[in-house]
Amino acid sequence: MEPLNRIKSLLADRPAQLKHKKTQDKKIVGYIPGGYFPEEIALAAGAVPVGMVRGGEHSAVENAFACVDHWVDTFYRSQIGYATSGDDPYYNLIDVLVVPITDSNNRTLSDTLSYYTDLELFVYGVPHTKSKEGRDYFRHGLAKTADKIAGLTGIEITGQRMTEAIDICNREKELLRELSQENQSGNTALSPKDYVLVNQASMLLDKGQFIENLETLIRELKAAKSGDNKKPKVLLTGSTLALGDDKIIDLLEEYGATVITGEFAEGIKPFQHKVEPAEDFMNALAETYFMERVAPAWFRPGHELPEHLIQTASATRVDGVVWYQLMYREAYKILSHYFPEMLKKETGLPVLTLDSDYDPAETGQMATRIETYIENIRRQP
Amino acid sequence: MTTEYHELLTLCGFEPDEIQQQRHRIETTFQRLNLVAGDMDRAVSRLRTYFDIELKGVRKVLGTWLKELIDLVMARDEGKKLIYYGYPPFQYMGLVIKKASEAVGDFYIACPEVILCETLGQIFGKLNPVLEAGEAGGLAPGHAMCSLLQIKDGALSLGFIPAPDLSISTSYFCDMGPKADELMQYKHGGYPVEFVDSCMDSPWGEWPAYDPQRIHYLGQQLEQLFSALQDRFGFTIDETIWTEARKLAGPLYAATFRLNKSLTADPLPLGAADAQLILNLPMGCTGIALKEGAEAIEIMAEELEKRVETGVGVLPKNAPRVLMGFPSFVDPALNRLIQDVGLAVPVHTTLLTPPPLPESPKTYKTLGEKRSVVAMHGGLYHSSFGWIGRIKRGLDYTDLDGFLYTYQYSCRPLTCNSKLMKEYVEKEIKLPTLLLDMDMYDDRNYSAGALQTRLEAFAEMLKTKKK
Repeated sequence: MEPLNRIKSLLADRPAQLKHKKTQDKKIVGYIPGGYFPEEIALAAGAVPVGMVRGGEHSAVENAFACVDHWVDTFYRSQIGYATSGDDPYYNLIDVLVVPITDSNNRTLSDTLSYYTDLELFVYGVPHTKSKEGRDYFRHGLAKTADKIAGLTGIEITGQRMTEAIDICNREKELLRELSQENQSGNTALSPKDYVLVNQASMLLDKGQFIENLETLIRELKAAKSGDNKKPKVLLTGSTLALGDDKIIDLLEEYGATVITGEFAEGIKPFQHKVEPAEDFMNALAETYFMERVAPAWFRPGHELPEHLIQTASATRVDGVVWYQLMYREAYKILSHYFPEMLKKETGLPVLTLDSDYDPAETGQMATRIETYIENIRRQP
Repeated sequence: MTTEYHELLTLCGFEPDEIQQQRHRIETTFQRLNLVAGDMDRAVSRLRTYFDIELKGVRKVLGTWLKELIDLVMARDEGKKLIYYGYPPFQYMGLVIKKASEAVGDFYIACPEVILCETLGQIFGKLNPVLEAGEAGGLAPGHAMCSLLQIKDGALSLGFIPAPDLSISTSYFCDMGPKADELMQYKHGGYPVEFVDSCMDSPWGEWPAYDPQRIHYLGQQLEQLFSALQDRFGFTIDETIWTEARKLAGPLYAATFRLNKSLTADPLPLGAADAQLILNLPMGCTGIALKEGAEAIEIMAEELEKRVETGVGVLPKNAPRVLMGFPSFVDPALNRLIQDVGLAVPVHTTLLTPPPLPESPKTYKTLGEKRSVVAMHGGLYHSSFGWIGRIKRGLDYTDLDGFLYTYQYSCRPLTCNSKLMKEYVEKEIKLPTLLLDMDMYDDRNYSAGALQTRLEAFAEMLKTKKK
């Protein structure tokens, strides 16, 4: 598909493009892709938002060991590895790294990079309980972030600029939702891996170029004839699915599954909720990005995520759920112990739990477990 | 099994008539915990090997822990309502709840996993079945799950301790505690859990300053807990109760303060294994430990003063003195090893003198907000930099030769800053630092033997430097 190829090509060229933008005095705002940084803020301030979504490489994880202990979430260790390597195309370009602090793992990233690198870090908190007070605290963090970025670019965030930014991001969300519907309905014209890639590209590419290509891609997808839909259909969910962490989807496909990508704490951009127009933009952003975003496993109480997954699994009529978590992301590991029982009780569906440390050595064992799981699904009446 | 436990209890300072009177409670507890005759022999042997049982105060402290264990295990049988709080506790929240409960009814309030560490761990060396039950129950091995939480879950699963009427989670500090509490809630009858949330989002370098909004948020969360306690049990928590609560542990703090003065002496009169026994009495208990623990520590303080007067120490004079991160809560062999390699530990990080408390800004009106200000100041609940900065400031008040930063490898908030701690302390105050990952609650992977080589090398380096 041509638009897909263009998206891939734009992704390959993006570091060079960003480098060029910097020569035009554009500010690049890196952010941790957990769904808690509204790109609208960066866009309204005239900056370029860039999600630090790369992952899946064991070498980056190993590089981090000089600065951080082993017992920290794999994705965050890999970010530390990239950022301290000195040769990462994105970390070398950003003017500030915005880290919405969600848990101890990503706090490790901000503390470690603050100490070991010259990167400018900007942090704000994401409370762990959904309440009015939690929302207000999150809103306070967004307002601080807006001031920070506007200060960096020297561009005031006016109502007009914010409205335009919200419109652009809402349009992108709308399209990502349409794309997701194609993925969930089992349209195999776009492979599951490419579906994920397109979602992740939304965090890296220029909004105008991305939206234009995505519109065309969706049109073509809808027109395309879907392939074999008789394969077992599994819902893939978990802690983090980073750009380049392809192993899990490759293996699922290799053993004959159709993959639907569901909720992830990081790496997949949430798109379910648009920002509603409001007088107080920060309130509107806080509502969408904090209150409406599906709460990751570390929220307390934490019933929202399992309920959402049960609902998604039922609605998409999958044959099973694959729970893919990175090592040492404790909240996901704990939930993975009792979520299968909850899901089984409500839907009868089986769960396969897989852990990864981005280590090539784990592939063999993972393959065996996936093969067995898919085979078991196939044999079910 | 009277004769089997008699020797142990006598060694731990129980009086004969006390054993007689408590017989049913003691036997029920030991039976419930699967402690049999062989365990009593092993406990006696452990105490004789690792602790300074020549000191009556040490024996009495050990006895205090056993009494807390019995009270914990028997609480439900004896008609008490139970409230558990997580570790580390939010200031002396357990004492506050205890004080508030006095006007209402009979409650048992504690951090049960700490009591199990100090007893099934330190005394009996029999925590493994509990840890294994915790691992099997959802806090999986190999994933750096907090072993303290495994102990709590394992003990609930095995029926060692009763399910509580309320559990207060450590949401103000870590992510694993609250999630594990949800797991336990799911598995053990759906008991209620209260979360006191906070956002540790201060940037590096900010401590002791903080964003006032953090105070509002944490303060509101504390107020929410107070309301929940009111609604559920009829407790009133206000500033008067908070002040009175501190007095509950007054004798314990006073005795500890007196004892700590002896620890400034050279030679050091008390080893790390014995000093550890005191650390958690006010942190983990709100019951009998407050009274009997205080008495025991007073006895110990007096005994140590005599040692200081006569120049008796557990190490030769001029032994290197180190600040220790955290001791093992379960393994006296490991704590004893530190002394055996020749390191004197006069103080742990949690006991370092805190910097003077600033006056709470008048803008903060509620009790929750005022306590939140204190929490920010303490550093640990502020940020990584807060914890490191607090230790650095504490070191200004002490004269030490090194820093043995032992830390819980599976505690994310501590793992988060372990390497930074070493780098920062060595760079800023030029204090030689050994970073030693360990498991404070589980000796299966971090035994004394496994850590010995690194400890010996560090001790030798400090000794050479001191010559």
